[in-house]
Amino acid sequence: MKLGLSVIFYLFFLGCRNYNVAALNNSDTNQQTDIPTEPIQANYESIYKNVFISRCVTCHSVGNSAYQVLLSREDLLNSPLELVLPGNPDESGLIIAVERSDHKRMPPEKEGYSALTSVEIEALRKWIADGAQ
Amino acid sequence: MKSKILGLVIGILAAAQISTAQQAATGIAKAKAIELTAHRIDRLVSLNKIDASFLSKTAKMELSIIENQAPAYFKVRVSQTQPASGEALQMDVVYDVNGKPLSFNVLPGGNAGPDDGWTGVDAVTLIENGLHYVLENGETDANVKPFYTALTTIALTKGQLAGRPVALIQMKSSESASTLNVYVDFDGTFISAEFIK
Repeated sequence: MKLGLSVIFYLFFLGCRNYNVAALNNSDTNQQTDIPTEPIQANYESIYKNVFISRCVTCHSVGNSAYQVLLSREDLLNSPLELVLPGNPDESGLIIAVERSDHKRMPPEKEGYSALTSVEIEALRKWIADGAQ
Repeated sequence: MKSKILGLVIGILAAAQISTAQQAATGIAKAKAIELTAHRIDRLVSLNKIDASFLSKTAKMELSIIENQAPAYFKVRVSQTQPASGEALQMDVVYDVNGKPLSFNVLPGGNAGPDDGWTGVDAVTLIENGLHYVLENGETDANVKPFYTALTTIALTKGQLAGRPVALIQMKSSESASTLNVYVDFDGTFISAEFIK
């Protein structure tokens, strides 16, 4: 009986978690201008909400120009481009892309986008250094 | 009863293993493996792990399949043009079937041709931009598809188009007798493509 309740509770917990992630992902393209500002935490949910949605998903989302590089945690961790190497921010493609100063910097200057702030980059770096959980 | 359950479990695990192996065998397209090499060169130069001349002087990439050395599957050999001074280089980059980079090895002896001295974007960006034509059309255009699935060689030289100098990216496929020529401006902008019999 106890085991059954535990399983039901666990499944409910998983469902809530997936719902939240889905809600984040579905907000990709439509809510970029109305994101409330809040301190960025060095965790994926905060980075997705406060950096990726406002700065990246206009292009990096399904149906848009940079759809080949998506920004879900799984996509970042599994990309052959080695976008996120847990524990190794210096060699992670995501960090190299946002810190470089040439024409390959992300977000792209030539399309009028400004560089990420030091606070945003630091949150990315710390998240990756801490294992990118 | 126990042995039946054990047999069932083994059967399920074996089926899962076969399914995983089949999934892995599909992997990425060969054109994608070469595009990943363009990104790999950029990454390795950024990290000061290879000479920056690979960005500016790369002139050819050749893909081959590595047999019976799993997880290694794709090998892309990158060749530089001959620099004005110093030694031209080559590099082998090895990937698994899904494009995960496994190793790189810099070798002497690159000599794909005279140095073109690209003045806009670098040579690797020109190659990558030419490849985008294949990556974006390879699944839908029957003429492009052989270059998407079976690309073997991509070479960058200076060419002429309607009387003006352009970057010419020539691709060969093991599944086509044609050569695919992609013309790109020196700033990396795609101009046009044609198949040469």
